[in-house]
Amino acid sequence: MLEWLRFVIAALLILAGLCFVISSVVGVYRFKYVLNRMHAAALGDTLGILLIVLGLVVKGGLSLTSCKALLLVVLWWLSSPVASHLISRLEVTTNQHLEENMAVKTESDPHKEVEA
Amino acid sequence: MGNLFNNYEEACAIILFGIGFTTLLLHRNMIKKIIGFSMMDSAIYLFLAAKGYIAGRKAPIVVSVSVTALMLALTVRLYRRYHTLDIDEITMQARREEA
Amino acid sequence: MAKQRNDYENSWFPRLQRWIAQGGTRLSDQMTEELSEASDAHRVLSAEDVARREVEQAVHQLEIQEHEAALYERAHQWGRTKGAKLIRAFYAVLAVLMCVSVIAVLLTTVSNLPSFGGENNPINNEVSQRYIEKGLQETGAVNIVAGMILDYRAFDTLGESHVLFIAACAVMILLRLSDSGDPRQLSRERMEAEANDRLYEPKNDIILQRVAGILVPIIMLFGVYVLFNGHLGPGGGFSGGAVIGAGLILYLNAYGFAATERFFTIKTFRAVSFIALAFYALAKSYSFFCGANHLNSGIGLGTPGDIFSSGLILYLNIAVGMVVACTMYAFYTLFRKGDM
Repeated sequence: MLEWLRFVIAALLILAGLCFVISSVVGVYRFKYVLNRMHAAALGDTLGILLIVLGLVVKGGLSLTSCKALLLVVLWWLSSPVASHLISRLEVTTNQHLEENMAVKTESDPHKEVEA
Repeated sequence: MGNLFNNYEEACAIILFGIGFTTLLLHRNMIKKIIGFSMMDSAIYLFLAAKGYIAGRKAPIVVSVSVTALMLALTVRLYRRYHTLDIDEITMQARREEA
Repeated sequence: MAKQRNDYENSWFPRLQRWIAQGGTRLSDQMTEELSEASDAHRVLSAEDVARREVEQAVHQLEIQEHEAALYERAHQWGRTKGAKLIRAFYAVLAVLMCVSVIAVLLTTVSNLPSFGGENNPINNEVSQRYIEKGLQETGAVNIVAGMILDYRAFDTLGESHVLFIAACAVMILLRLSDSGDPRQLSRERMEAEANDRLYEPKNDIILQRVAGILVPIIMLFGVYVLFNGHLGPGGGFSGGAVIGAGLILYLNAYGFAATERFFTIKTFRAVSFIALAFYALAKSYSFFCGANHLNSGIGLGTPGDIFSSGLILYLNIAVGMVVACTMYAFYTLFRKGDM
């Protein structure tokens, strides 16, 4: 009984993680502007990988290997959002036609919005 | 047909090699040609690993990094000189400058 | 149906009959007739006639030239637009055909290869048997792969690390800002590189600096661990060197060139690469002359599983790892700024 329950919970977690990752991939292919695509890629990745690794931990039982897998998730959470932040920052600094399509908050006065 | 479906790893490696070769030939953008080259490299590693080549396991990957770095350096220099990445444009401009 | 001809009177038999009926002319009579005809065409041309004829000819020439020019223009225009498309389509079809034929030839070769994992394959011969059976005993390395690439076939790895170094040198030749030449051009190139760098790369990004402060020590520690445990588990020179190089790149990205120049400059790169490669070459390059057998290095094999076991493998791993780390860092900084 416990084995079956463990299998079901692991399968549900992995399927949920897969849904998040697939929706982020669909977002990357279908959005029109770079910042929207970046948003889809960054958010879907972090939650998706957490759910998938949790599913694997539940399936394999708690052991040294599962602790290493959770450490993997910590490393991913540290590095992936910083990478997305840097890419988006590059896009904002180098795109000349940015103001035509979206409202940009300049750094000097965060309460003043530059409207398109 | 022989052993074609038994050795499906090697067959997949060959098909990947062919796809990389087609990419190398058909695109005009140089970065896409370099991507095709890298696909051919990966296909060769897959073939070697499927054949069970034990010695020199990490060596081919090092060669691929060096080749890609050299090709990208050449592309950067070409871009600075001709301001385009299209190989047809570059050939036309070079021939015009010769004449 | 045959061609119908309406002039029976002008065909050859009635003409023959008429000629005979006239008594036949002689050839000399015909020739004198023709001569007297031609002399009528020789008339003296007056000056106005000559000028008029020249003007007509000049106009005619101009028309012909314009006609030709228009023809060429149309041909080139077609060549530039539709002709180019046609040739591109033709080239694409030919390229795909050639690739398909290459794939077909290679696939027939694959189908004639021995089965995957079969026991009578030529690849499972006595060489690999010996490596697997006696690897631990002769090299002292628990990781058979490391024992093989750094002990039995050490001169292969010598070539590999030299390939990396040569690639770094070639990229340096292509991309490094020129050191000599007139100082005005040099400083302008440097200022351009600095301006590009400042625009496209993050400078003093607070998020990046905080996270790099946590991650870089972990990455370096992990890289050193992978490097030192090459003979005990998976890892070794190339992987460990790549991880250390990645750590260096992250440090450079977070803290900028000024902070990295404090411990890693072009002189460091030269010194580390040279010492590592020279050590490796001194240790193993005589294998070219000894037929890939090597002498006893004098360093004991130790007990397997210790970190100081397996003779020279640990030190060769460290040398290869240093070269790989320096090369990765050199690639990054040469592509980014052109200087180290």
